[in-house]
Amino acid sequence: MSTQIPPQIQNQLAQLQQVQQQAQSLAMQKSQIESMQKEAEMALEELDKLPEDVVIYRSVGELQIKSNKEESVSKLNEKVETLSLRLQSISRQEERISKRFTQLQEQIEQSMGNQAQ
Amino acid sequence: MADMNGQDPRVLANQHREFQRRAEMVQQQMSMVQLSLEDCNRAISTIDELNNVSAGSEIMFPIGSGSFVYANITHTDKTVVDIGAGYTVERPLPEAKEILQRRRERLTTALENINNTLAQLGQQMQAIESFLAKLQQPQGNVGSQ
Repeated sequence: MSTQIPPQIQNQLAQLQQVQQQAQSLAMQKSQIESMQKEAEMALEELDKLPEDVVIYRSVGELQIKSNKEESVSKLNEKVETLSLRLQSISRQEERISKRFTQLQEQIEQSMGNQAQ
Repeated sequence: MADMNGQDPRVLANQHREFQRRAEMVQQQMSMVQLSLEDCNRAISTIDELNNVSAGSEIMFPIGSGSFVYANITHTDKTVVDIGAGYTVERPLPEAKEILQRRRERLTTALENINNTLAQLGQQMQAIESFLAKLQQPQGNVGSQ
C-alpha cells in the first residue's frame, strides 16, 4: 500500500507525524508545568494557614535550607508567575502547531484527491 | 455513537489511537498518584506511632538498601512535614497530621478524577471500536463471497 503513495504525499505524511509528535511533547510539558504550578499554589495555601514565625525549610538539592514565611511566600509567588508565563508560551506554541496540523491535513486531503482523479 | 455516522473511518481510527495514547498517559499519572497516596498514608501512620514514643528512644534510621544506623529521637512532639514545591515546615504532630490528611484528600480526589477520565476514554474507544466493527462486517461478507 505504501509503495502506491506518491513521494510528495509521503513527505507530507511524515511532516504531519512530526507535527503530531511536537504536539504530544508540548501537551506533556504543559501538563508537567500545570502540576508544578498547582503544587506551588497548594504550598502557598498551606503557608497561609501557618503563623508568621513558623520554621520553614527550602530544599536545595539534598540540602534543607532554613527560611522564613515572608521569603518563602515571595519565592513561591514568583514561581507561580514564572510557570504561568511558561504556560502562556506553550499555549501559543500549541496554537501554532494545531494550525500547522490542520494545514497539513488539508494539503494531504487535497493531494490525495488530486491523486484519485 | 450516532454522530459517528458519515465520518471517515481513517479519522476515527486516528482518534482511537489518540485516545489510547491519552489513556496510557493517564494510567501513568494514576500510578504516580497511587504511590504518593501510599507514601502519605505511611507518613500519617508514622506520626500516629510517634505519639507512643518518648524522647530519647532508640530507633533505627534507614540509609537505603534495607540498611539502618542507630539513632535517638530527640523530639517526639514536632516533625518537619512537606508542603510541596520543595518546602517543608516544622509543626507539632497533630498539625503535621492535618497537613498530611489534607494532602491525602487532594490525592484521593485526583485519583477519582483520573479514574473518571480513564473510564470516559475507555467508553470513547469502545464506541469507535464497535462502530468500526459494524462498518467492517458487510465489507468482510463481500470479500468472502
